[in-house]
Amino acid sequence: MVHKDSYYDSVVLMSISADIKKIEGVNEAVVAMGTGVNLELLKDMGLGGEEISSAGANDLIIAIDADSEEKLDEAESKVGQLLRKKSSSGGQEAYRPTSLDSAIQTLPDANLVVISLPGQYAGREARKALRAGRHVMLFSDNVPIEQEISLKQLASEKGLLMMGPDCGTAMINGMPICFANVVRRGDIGVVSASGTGLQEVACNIEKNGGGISQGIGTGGRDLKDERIGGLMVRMAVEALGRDPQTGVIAVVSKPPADAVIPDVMNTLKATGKPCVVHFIGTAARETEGNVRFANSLEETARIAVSVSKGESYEPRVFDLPESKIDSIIERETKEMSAQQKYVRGLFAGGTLTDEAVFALHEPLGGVYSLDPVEPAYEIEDPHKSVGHTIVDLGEDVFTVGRPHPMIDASIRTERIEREMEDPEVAVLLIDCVIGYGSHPDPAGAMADTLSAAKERYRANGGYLSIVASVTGTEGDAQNIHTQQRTLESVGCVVMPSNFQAVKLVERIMGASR
Amino acid sequence: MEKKASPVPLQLKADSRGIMVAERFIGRVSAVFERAVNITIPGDPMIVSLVTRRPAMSGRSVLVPWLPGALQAGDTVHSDSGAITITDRERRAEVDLTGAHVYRGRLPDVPWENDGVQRARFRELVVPQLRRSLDRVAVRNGLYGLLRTGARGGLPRISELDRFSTYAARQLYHSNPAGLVGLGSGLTPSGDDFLVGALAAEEFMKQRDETIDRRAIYLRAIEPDGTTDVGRTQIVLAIRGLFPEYLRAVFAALAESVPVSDNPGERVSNLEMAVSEAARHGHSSGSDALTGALWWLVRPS
Repeated sequence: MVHKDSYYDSVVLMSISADIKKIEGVNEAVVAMGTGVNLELLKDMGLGGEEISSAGANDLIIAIDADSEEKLDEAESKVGQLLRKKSSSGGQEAYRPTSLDSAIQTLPDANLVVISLPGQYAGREARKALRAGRHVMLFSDNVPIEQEISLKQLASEKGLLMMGPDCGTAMINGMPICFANVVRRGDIGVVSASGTGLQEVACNIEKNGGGISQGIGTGGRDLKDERIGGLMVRMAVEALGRDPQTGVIAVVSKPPADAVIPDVMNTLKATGKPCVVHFIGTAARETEGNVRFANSLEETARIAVSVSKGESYEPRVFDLPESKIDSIIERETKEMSAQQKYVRGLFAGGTLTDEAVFALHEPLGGVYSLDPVEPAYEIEDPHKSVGHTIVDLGEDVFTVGRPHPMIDASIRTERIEREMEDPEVAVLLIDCVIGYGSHPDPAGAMADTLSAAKERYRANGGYLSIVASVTGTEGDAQNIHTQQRTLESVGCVVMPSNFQAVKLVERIMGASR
Repeated sequence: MEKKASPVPLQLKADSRGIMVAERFIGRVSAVFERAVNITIPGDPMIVSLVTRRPAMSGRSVLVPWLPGALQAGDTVHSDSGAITITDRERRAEVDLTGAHVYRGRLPDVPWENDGVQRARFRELVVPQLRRSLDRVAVRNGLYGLLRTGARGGLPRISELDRFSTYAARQLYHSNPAGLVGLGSGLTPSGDDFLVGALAAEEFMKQRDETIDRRAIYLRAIEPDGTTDVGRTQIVLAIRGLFPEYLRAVFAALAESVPVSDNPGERVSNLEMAVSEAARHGHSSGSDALTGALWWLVRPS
């Protein structure tokens, strides 16, 4: 059949062609335009005919070769049905804006724009969004710092949030955005200059019976670079200070630039609300007025919840009683061979990596990493561990041309297989981050590799201890308990938080020497 | 008799206007698709397209945020004073062109050194990345199978290719790329897309290949029923060195690798993104164009 000056999208026509070919008795179905060369070829294929030979270049030909007249009729009828079905649907798919302007016109009440573009374009789009009076979450990285400064200044002038660049997590008005978790609503507002830091704190808040008012990400450079000066952290803290639904404010970040700390502290104090602060890798400072300091991401959450509930906070490292911890350590170390002496940490979450590196560097006598505590421990070849090595597999060097390990487990499983060729590995430390944006079953995706790793050491007369934690909640699609059970089923020791997992590794290594 | 009030015209604001879209013309809507409307202009071999996706933008396109649902083939089109007006019997749609960005479609100007060393390194180190990227996302039932015939353009393994691809392979083997004009299944001939990609590769590398007989291709393209309006437009633009955005973006990503370092892999994520976007263009158009580009790049120089 010939459709003069046809009006159907290629994809529609190809799918029709594919559907017709599935009919038993149809040998060939071709969709082609009536150009000279196509007409010749169709004729060679035995799909010519008067109607087809009179078609022009802008006419669509649907040519069918079937075993019988009945099958041909069936196929023609099916083509007609499919074309009519396409027409009656109006031929219009749901409108998808192609630019920020058109998106704003389509959803004029939307007040937050999430931008994920290559770095060289992202800043421009963010500026457009801010000028249009919208808050911005900028997922993109590789945005020049000058641009970040300028964007945050513009946002500040307009009283808007500029979350990012390199901001992967936010929880705004109960809505998880990008990599985020389903967390109970409550009165704790969290400001984080790190994505998995926000996730770990928020999930631990839920675990300890509290809830989140807002989870605001600021991007990794906000507090680290003096030129930015913590501008967005301060804006977010001020906003939470004014928010009647926020009773407690928590702030987490990697260690800020020294010059930035006084302004941040003044802003926290000015809110008058109880605040909890954790600078990853630094010991808790003395309380200053309404600002308390925590020793870990988990402790940040637990202090915030205790304040929210009006309870006193009792510091502790492990949830399990000491006797149970001792028996775990004994079990995990008794069959290790004498040559097993190193920790290998393979993480998907950057902040969780940092927490592990900082916490283990001194007890282990030095941890190699891409972002080490001491420059001498910067790992020379990121793909080859040396000594105690803990790496964030989400770093650019690992993810060039590949999905992030939170989305695709293969970067991590391949690295685990490489690590297992080293008989000197005693402990494998891993995180498992679930929630929106993450792999549908990260524990399941690693399970076989982890099981094989343990078996390999057993076969060689040793024992590999695998310690893990799951960052997530029961409300996440992957379900934290399911993930924990999966890991335990292959012999992992699953601890309630990243910090507890790290502290257990420290104890295991102490006992194994 | 009471006059019926004219409905308020639909207003669209153009984001971009192709450099080859004339300021004044009169034409007619020839075809309406979900994401594009084609306009023919008497005496002009090229059409003008209203498109809603940036990757589809070309030197003869106008990028608009949406397309009115009531447009039909046969509607008249006037362009004048910074607006394109489409009229049927009952209502009008107006596309405001003022302030629209002008799209040229030129490929990045790479300063290849004269001694051929950079080009050789590019072919050796960067082109395989393009191939790997395309391998991952290519539409298999376009002309992608032609790449399996190998760098020397050997005869195809018939069982792997359909009739159209087999014919295309023979034309290429016999150094007759013009034979691909108008060839292939689908609404935009795959052969045209293939040739546009090959012309883009030639333009990018600043090397003319005698096998690509531009005159022969042009003459085939403008023959009556030589190819479709869309295919003809893309070929004529390509011969003039103007290419659609999805293809320009791929070559912009390739240009980032020049001068070629010893580790060009550090730029691969931009290339993969651009290739992935290109492969989504049309049913197989983007994939076929990249196949053409690769075919040209991997041939012995």
